[in-house]
Formats: sequence, C-alpha cells, structure tokens
Amino acid sequence: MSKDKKLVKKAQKGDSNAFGKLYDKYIDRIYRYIFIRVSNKTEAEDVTQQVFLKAWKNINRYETQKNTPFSSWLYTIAKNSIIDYYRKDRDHLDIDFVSDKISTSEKHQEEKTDTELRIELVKNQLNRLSEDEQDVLIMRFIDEMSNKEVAKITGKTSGAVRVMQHRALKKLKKQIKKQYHDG
Amino acid sequence: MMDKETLKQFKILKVIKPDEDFKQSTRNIILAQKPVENRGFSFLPKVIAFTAALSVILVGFIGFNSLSNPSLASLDQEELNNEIMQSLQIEEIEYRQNINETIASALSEVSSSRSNHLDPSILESENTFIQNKQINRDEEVGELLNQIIF
Repeated sequence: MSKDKKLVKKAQKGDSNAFGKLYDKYIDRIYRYIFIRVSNKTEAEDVTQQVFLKAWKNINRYETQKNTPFSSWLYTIAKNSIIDYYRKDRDHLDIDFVSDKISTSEKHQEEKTDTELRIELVKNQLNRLSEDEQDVLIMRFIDEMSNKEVAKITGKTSGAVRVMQHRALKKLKKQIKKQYHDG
Repeated sequence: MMDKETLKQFKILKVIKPDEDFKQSTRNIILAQKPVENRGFSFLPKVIAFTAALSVILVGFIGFNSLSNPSLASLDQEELNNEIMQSLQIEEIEYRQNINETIASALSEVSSSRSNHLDPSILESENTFIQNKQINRDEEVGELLNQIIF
C-alpha cells in the first residue's frame, strides 16, 4: 500500500495529523493549479481552502481499494471547485470590483519583479486556451503527471490527452510568439 | 525545438507557491473541523437499489402472468359479473323446464279420455277388490274369535 493510502486510512479513522501530512504534501501543487486557473491570489486562496476542506470533510468517501490515487481525487475536487467558482462567483463580480482590480493591477505593475511579470504573461496566454487544454498542460508540465493520471482526472482517454497536449502547446507557442512580436 | 522553448517559458509557473501564513492558517481551520462520519451502511443504497429493481421485475412478471392465470383472473370484476349472469340464466332455464313439464303432464291428463280417476272399468275393478278384501277380512276375524273363545 502506498504512503498516501496509509495516511488516508488513518485520516478516515479520524486522525487529523494524517490528513495534515497529506495537506502539507499537496497544498503547493493544488494552490498552483488553482492560481493559474482563477483570476487572482485571494480567489486562489479561497478556492484552495474549499478544496482541502471538502477533501477532509468527505475523506470517508474516498475509496482506497480503488486504483485512483489520492492526488487524482484531490485534483478532481479542485477541478470541480474551479467550475463552481466560475459558475457562481464570476457572475457576481460588480463593475466597481473589476475596475478596482484593474487599477490595483496597473498601480503595482512597476513594483512587480521580472519573475512575477513573466508568470503573469504566461498565465494570461494559458488562460486563452480552453479549460481542458489548460488542465492538460498544467497537469502534464507543471505538476508532471502521467498521461494516464491526467486522463483519469479529466475523464478522457490517454490518447485524447496526448492529442490535446499537442494542440494546446502549438496554440500556446503561437500566442507567446505573437505577444513577443507585438510587445 | 520551439516546443522546448515554449515549455521552458511555461515552466516558469512552477515557482508559484502559496504564502506560508495562508498555508498555516488554512491548515488550522481545516483540521479544526471534523470529517463527515462514515455511517457504516454504505452498502445500503446498493441493497435498496437491488431490492427495488427486483420488486419491479417481480411485479411486472406477476402482472404479465395474471392475464393468463385463471385463479387470479377470477378476481377480475368483469369475469365475476359474467359468471353470475351465466349462473342466473342456468337457474332460470331449469325452472322453466320444470314448469313446462308440469303443465304438459296436466294438459295431457285433462285431455285424455282414459284418465285413471274417471275410467269406469278401473273404478269397478277397484270396487270389486275392496269388497273381496272386506269378505276375506270378515272371515279372518271370525276365525280369530273362535280361537280365542274356544
């Protein structure tokens, strides 16, 4: 049995320390995945908190005997939480809040480091891709998951994931190239 | 070649990390909660679903069979009505048949010139028979009296 599954078993018996270890192991990856997909840091933090809270509350629903790794289960919760975020929260953003966000963003533009600017640039390009394409690229190249794992989380076949990855990279390359030329 | 360059740029996203304060405070908030308890009857939904499916199949089977099963068909209201009507008709036919027979026999007796109670030869022979019986009876009584007295 994998280390994750042993921890999950303990967590299912109410051992919060065991879940704490799982939290420590996956918080960075889940946060990063969410941060890339949502608009800002505050929202990324909110959604991340929701994901781990849902996972802890529903830990007994995770079936260790099935072949789904705990990380895949966690990503599935994160993916669904992002869908919920876009469905609910995005509709309620009022104009003042949006303009405030833009002005704040412009105001701090000069203060941002080179790395932050590069992150923002790539993130903006990535967000122009479809949701599935974003998922595939993040999971494959940032979180370094296998095609099989990505397929399990996205509900697609490994072949479909490979095709999607190829197309997404091609699109991203084109967009970044265009941005450099325009910029 | 271009893919490698794109990936290199893309992998800059790997440096994204949450704040340590956020990580710690969220950890505390989450672990202060309790998970939803496993009720231990997680098999129940499957059992209920199986029972429901079985019931549907069973009801369907019985419903289908009732069309051809006589014992259950007898519970059908229309069938019962038909049976009662048939029974009443049979009783009525039997009653009418008895009446017809009685009337026929009465009519034949009335119309016949050799009816037993009006036939003179029969009446005379009956009279003779009674008289003979009377004579014989008188003789028998006399003999018995002689035996008792003498």
